[in-house]
Amino acid sequence: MRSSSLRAWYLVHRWTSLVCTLFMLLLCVTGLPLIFAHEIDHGLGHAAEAPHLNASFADARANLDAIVEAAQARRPSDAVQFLVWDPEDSDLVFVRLGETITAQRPSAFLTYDARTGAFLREYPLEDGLVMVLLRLHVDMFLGLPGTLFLGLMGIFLVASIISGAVLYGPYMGKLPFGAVRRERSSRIRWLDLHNLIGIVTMVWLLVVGATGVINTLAIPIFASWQATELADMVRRHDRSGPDGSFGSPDRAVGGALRAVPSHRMSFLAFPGNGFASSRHFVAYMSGQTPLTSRLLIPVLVDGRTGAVLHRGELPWYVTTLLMSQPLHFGDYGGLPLKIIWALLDVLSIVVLGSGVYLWLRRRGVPFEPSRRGADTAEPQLDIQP
Amino acid sequence: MKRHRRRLRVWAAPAAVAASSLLGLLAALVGDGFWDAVSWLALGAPVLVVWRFAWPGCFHKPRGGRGLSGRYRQDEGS
Repeated sequence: MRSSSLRAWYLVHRWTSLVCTLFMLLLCVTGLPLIFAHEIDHGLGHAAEAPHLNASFADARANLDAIVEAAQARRPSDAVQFLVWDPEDSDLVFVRLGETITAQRPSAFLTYDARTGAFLREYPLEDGLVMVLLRLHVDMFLGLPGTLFLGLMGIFLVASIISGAVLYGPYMGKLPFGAVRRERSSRIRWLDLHNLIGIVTMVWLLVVGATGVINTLAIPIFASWQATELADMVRRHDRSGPDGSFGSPDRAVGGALRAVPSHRMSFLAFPGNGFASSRHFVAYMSGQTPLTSRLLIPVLVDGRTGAVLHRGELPWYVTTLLMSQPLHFGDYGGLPLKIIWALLDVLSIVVLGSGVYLWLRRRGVPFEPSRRGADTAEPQLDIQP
Repeated sequence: MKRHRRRLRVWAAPAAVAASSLLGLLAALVGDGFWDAVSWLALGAPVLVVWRFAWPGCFHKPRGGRGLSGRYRQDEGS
């Protein structure tokens, strides 16, 4: 590679890294406990456990209408927006309420026992440690602009990783893999560590970074789907049917499960909500294999009759978003995978920190052309004092 | 040819770690149980590599002995 192009790659690496490093440190530090959000919630007692009941309750299913009524009675001025099923424990069902049926943020998140209908607990939406970390990680308490800004920083991160990998080759020309020159100055030692840790964590950080960027588009992606395909599906069926009551969520769920027996309920959107029609429920159903459990089928159901009006499909851009989520969260391979995720996250913090250190102790651009002669030679790295 | 060999030498280990990482990221998506275990081993590889080289005391005698640091000492005296 010519020295001039190496120098260009070096400058790309320096500047893309400098732009995003501070925010990437924030994301890595807040993301570290978020890997274990589920475990932390359980540890703090915020998440409910389904109580142990005797075997006769194993297949019992409480009437969902009663659960919805109980939740409504608890918060009479709020609207029930969604019923959400726990993906890991089929005995738990959550009722999400909002100040209005279309409100973006929930006003309450109540947990019920899906077998008995018993109220278990309310998730603390405001003061939960996990919620604070999540807001810092998702939008820095700045809403959608904050999220999109972090997405832009993620694009800089991807550019920084790629340019860093390009520099790795010439840098390692004379060194064996994994060389860490301990006996040299601390700058050289950290340069070696930066290169070693950077190159081995490259694929993981690229995937987590790129899927993070996709996740920052979640709100626009869902908004676009709601405005186009979901709106079409709803419009085709909304003309029929009289106004008035929308029927029973229990009947709607029963109808959806009969129509798509291979799937389980992920969540049920209530009529009037942005994810449903003004009169009908939409049941979002997920598959039972590890791969299909991340994907959703929207099923439009009439809550008065339980009749399935339409079985939809998610477009590719929503599927891409749903598939990118596990690859960002690391929550798809049990606790050992989460621990590896956390270790890789710590290593990324080391790469970011050592990058800043190397920049602070820089000695000019290390790929100056013609400092050591012609371009024909292998690029020489002016990394030594 | 020399350049080709050098490239191979420089990139063989990083490419192997990258392939292992990718396998690890995808394996747990494909299935549970066995595939989870594949994922832990394959995605654990980059962590083990850092441990192996960045803390050589864990596997190797760092200095003085026949550890890594002696092997390339002649390369860097420029």
